[in-house]
Amino acid sequence: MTSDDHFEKEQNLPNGAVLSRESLLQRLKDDLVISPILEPSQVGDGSVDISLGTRFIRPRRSRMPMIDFPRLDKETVHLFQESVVVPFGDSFILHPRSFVLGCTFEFIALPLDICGFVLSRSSYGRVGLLIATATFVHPGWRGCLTLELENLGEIPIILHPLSAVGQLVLLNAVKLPKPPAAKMIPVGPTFTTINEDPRWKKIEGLSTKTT
Amino acid sequence: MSSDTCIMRARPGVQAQCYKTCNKVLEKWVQEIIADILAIHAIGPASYFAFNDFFAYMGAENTPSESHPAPAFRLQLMLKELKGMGYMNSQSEIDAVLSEALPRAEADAKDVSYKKDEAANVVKETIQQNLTRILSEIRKFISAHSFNASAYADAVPKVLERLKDGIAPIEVFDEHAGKMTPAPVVAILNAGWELYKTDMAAFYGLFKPVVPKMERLGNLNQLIFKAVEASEIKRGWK
Repeated sequence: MTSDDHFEKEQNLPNGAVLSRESLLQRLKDDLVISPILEPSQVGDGSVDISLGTRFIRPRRSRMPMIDFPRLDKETVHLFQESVVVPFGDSFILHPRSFVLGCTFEFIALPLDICGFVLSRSSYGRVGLLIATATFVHPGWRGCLTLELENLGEIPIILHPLSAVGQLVLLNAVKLPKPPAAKMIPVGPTFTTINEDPRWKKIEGLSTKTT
Repeated sequence: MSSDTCIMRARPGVQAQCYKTCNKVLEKWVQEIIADILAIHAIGPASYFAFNDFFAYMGAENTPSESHPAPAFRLQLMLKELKGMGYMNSQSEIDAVLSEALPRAEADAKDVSYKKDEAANVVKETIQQNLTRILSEIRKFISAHSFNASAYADAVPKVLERLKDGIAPIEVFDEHAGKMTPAPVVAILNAGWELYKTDMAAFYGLFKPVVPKMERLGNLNQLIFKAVEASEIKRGWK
């Protein structure tokens, strides 16, 4: 069976089926963007390894007593989080039980019929490095993925930009009718914008009614 | 009375001082012209656009100084050089933008006032008289690496396509190599400027209507920056 035959066969896979290496390579030629692929071995059997970028959002020492999501506007977020850039060849130390946001070095653009999941690579996970909590990537999404990096272990972990810390598993999805409009096309980790969720107003409205 | 006549009639000491002043200004101006023309050959239209927007943003006056020729004089020189490199010779969108800019720049260059600064006037005349020779000397160094119109047509459209789709153009498909290869930095910069000058509506259309235009424009800059950075890493990856 040739690679093209294999691809033809996989085109007919049901939604939710994981894309194999042949399928990934074919889609990378066609309409899937994971760029740049630094090593051919990055494209594996069922996933593509993703590397750490140079931009991070780290906690800032703050007098903020607590986080209240509806009131978490841009200015408030910057009171306890800040952006830093770690140059290539340099490193970032992630202390035990601390949490930073990173991003993928690869720029990713998913076609309208492919979705994905970001997972830690087991070799990193085994020493306590967790890289993602919000792991789903929507069809048609574009940008560098924000990674939520956490050291669950007992000793500090040195993070090196370009190290392949994670993997992206891609699956067939029901094709979206048109590309989704973006709020932004991120090239680095992004701060939370949870306070913009329209649900807060309704929740707060309820509390007014009940008091 | 012309400036030359003035100098000829002046006493030798004053004459020497005039020559010294003019030579100092001449040296600086020629350095600037060399840098401008080298940049135009190395980077192509992106160099002109960046320069033009820089002056517009700075609100710089269209007057010469001791260290720099008037902005309009430099801009029209850059545009004429681009024309000599084969630009403004097709129906492409980028050529249309440049063709439109040239007569405007030439008119602005004519409007530059040298009345307040006699040395600047002498230097301008000297440069005008020797411009062909100066330019031909510069071209000897750079023409082999010139990002001329045909190099632009080869490299930029593929990069531009990606950028229009909201994709950081880190790599493009190379037909000769049959694989994805890092996009040249100069092509990334020119694609960014071409998109900005000709088709921003398409790029803006990628975003939700609530996103302010300045944020969308900032996002374009971020994509270009990402592409330059990542393509360099890919090129150097051994």
